[in-house]
Amino acid sequence: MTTGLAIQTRGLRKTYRSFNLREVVAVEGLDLDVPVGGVHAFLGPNGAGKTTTIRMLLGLVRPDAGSIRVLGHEYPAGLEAAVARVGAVVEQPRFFPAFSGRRNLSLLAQAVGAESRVDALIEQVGLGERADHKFRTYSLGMKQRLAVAATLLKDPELVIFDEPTNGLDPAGIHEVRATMRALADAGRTVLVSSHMLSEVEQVADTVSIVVRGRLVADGRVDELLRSRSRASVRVVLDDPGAAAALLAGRGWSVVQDGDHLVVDGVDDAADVNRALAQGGVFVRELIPVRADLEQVFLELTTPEEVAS
Amino acid sequence: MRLLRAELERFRHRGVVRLVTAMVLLASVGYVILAWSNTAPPTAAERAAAQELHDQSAAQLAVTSPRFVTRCLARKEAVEAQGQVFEMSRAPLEQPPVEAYLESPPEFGEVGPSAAHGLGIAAVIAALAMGVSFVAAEFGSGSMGTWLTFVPRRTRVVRTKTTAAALGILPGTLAAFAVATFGIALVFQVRGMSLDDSVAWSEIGRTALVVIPAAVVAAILGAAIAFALRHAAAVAGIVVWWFVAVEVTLPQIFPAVAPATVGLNLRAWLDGSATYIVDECRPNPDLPGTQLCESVTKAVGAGHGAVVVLLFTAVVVAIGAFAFRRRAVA
Repeated sequence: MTTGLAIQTRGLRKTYRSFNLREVVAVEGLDLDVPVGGVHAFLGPNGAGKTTTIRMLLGLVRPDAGSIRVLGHEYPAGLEAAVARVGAVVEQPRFFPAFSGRRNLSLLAQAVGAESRVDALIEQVGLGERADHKFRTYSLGMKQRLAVAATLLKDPELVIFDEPTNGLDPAGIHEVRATMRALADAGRTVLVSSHMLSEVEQVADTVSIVVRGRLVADGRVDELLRSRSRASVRVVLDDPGAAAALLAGRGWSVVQDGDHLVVDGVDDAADVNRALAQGGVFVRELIPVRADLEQVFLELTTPEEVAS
Repeated sequence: MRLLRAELERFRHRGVVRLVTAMVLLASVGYVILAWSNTAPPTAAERAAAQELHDQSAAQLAVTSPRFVTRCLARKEAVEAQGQVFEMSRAPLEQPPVEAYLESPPEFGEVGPSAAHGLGIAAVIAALAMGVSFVAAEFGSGSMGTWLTFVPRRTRVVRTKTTAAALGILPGTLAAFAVATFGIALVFQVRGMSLDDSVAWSEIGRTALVVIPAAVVAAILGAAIAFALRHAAAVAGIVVWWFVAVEVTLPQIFPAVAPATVGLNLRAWLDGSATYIVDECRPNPDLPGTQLCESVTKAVGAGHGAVVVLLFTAVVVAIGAFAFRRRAVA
């Protein structure tokens, strides 16, 4: 095992046959590294192969090729030992609709000898009052809470959430985010796949971005933001036209937007301020605009970028 | 063992399992109610009707009886006049009692084994349905995926779920048998009717000894088919197709395959034997080039039936396990 990796895949590949027997590639030679501890975001557009990858990590889908190592256990021989230490919610929480939340949880707990933890977990996820109601009567948020309780039954070292905020209201999203952070702070590794990039950015420490089943970027979130995007500066001033001409003359890319300018490719905002002052133009506001994960994601997932 | 306990809990709490079990128990209670109703003493109206029939018969006999006697005596004279011996072969004409005009009460020897047999068939069908539902519901609700994140070894899942289905149907099946058999026996005892029929008791015992393992096999078969096909509707479709194509049509086209069909062998196992008809032909010595054929009834024994059903189940379990091991689970 590569030290410090909770998940490591090499050359992971999975194809499906469509109805007309055409081969559809879901995952194509994926090399995924998820470090131990912290929250790792697993990002990609729809159909990028995120859920298929997660299913392969959980043994729900057999890969066509490649290797998987989870928590030091090589698949397929180590699947059982690895999954025993992994909690997961894949897509929508799936339980018996006619059973209560408590019964669903108890039945799962019996499989891993964790019956004594059921009541505490129900309280922990805030399902106490509705625990004895049927699962089919739960709101999506409550279903997610039950799913989180189920993932914690095994006291897992690795927790996998697949699109955990789908369909949740802002309060629910905040709750899931807080849960993920708390799990990571408690020393567990959290792998979260999501398309809610702004949400993920707030909580993720590291990230992997996949497009069409291939890894296109990975690393620490802050490093990725620094390396993938050139910084911009928003400048508010009295004469944006003159300032735009001045800055363009210094080689910066400038876009005028009403009473302000957006200057791209700036390493240090002070350089812009200095240039304008030297030209006799004084700024009223100078705001460095940081690239966010969404920008990086969009950059990386454009067809040109993928092709390169 | 822990896993099997969990699977048994899941089985026990399934709504369809409870519904089907309740239906089988209801059927057994139905047999008891039927026995109670059939063994009831005649009502006043039935007695009055019997009395009326008795009186009508007596009146008719009063008219016809002297004529019979006269005719008979004349024949006796004629026979004896020819020097032969006339033998009175018939008993003297007597009026039957009123009870003879009442419907005779059933005997335990008919009711007990018949109820056990009918209930046995219901129990086997119910076990098959419960086995299918137990597994198909997990695929349908998506909880199979969740379960596999707790128990990732597919073979283990197949093993524990089929075992749970096999064991899970036992309490309901045994209870239904006990309710029907002892309920009917109690009815006969309360009515003051004889229960002393060793043939009937041994037939009930034989039926129980056959039906309970057959129900266990049916539950395993149901679970295995559901592992292979996932959806209860698909299972229902395949079962109907199988029945029409393999159990009914195929033996009509190729009579020789009849002793290999599951339905016939299941019947043989449950009933002790089952028959099928084949045409046996031989060259016609009178008309060369033609054949003489006759329909011959052949029998399949209980042992043969059990072996074929068990082999079929083993093959389906292997197919179900193989399909489940290879399949991606949502």
